[in-house]
Amino acid sequence: MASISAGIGEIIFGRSGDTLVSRGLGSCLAIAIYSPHLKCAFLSHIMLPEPARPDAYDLLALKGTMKKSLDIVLDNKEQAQGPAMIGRCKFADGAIPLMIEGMGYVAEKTNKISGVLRSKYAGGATMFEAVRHTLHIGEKNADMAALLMKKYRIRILSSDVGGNLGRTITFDIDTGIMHVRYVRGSAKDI
Amino acid sequence: MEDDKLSINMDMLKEVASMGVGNAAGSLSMITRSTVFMNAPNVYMVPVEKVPDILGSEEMLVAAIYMEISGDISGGVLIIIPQQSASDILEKLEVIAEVTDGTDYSEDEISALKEVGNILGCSYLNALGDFLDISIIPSPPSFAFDMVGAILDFSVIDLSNVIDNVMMFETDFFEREGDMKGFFIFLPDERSSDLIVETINKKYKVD
Repeated sequence: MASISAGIGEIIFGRSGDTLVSRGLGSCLAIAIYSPHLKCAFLSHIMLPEPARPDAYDLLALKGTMKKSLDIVLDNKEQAQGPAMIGRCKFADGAIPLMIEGMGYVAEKTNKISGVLRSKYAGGATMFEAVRHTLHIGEKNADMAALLMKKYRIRILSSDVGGNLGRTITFDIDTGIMHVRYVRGSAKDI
Repeated sequence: MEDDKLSINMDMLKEVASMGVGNAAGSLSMITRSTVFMNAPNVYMVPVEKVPDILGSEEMLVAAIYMEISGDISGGVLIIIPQQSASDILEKLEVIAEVTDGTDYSEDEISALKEVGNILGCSYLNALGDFLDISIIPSPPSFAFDMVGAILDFSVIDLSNVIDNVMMFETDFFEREGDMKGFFIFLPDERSSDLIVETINKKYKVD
């Protein structure tokens, strides 16, 4: 089973048999968008809900780069290859539309229907209770994810957000289970 | 690093940071009654999202003490102590826990570690403030025991909305005969790193 980890701001893509991972999430959020029909998933590790400056990223350019990366992943039929990094965006309001566009592109390329997309996400903790300036960023990340899923009509199956503990998540594409692990040995499947 | 003006200042920045580090090492030696060394600090300009990678594995368990800075400059100071070293420090401070399974800390242990962070952070900032002749006011320390990646992402998240690259002062401290070690990270915000650079420039030209 091949596995790949998404660092901050990275978007990764995998298919049946792959596992998508994101380690050491503090107020960051790991968002999985997947299609049980296409048996594939995207996972992004975002840091912020939206940029302070509107010109922080160019969504159109990012979409172009992502499609090129997806072409390489999907066209390579020579060997069974594992998951891959296919794009970059550290903002929820950029990463989510990118993943949706990516899913549409995969459907188009494989001549299949994606069906209603599903989502699971985890993270958004507040690591230091007493710090005022960053108090709500984790929460805002989670709120933005919920808002955008509603906007794009994506079904949120489950989420695990907030609290004051860091998380490491593993997303299994075949089962759609997101395994969330905390430091003090506790873990759960969402 | 691409910025010329910045790279010229790097050596000076390092020198200034070294003074702070020397001061902090002295304080830590005193409270732990051992000889603590600190390496000359590294000054990096790194993309915000790369900061959590700098210390290695994102999942390494660490005790972390964070202090926010206000005054003439703003930003944060983060002291990161790997789990084992945190236990060593507590032992040296003779803070004995009821349960020492190393996965959770008692109130006493947390306040002892907070104090260690506080002393390290303040002695560093005092040296920096004295040299640059600016006022630096640290907040009371807050504590977390968690994965290093999670702690770092939380600490830089505020900066990440405004800037792409962050100025980071990083050093490690260690004991010659022992395993106690840790990392010290100073993260000024954009305005503050500019101010530090300007102040250093002025000072070196005038003298």
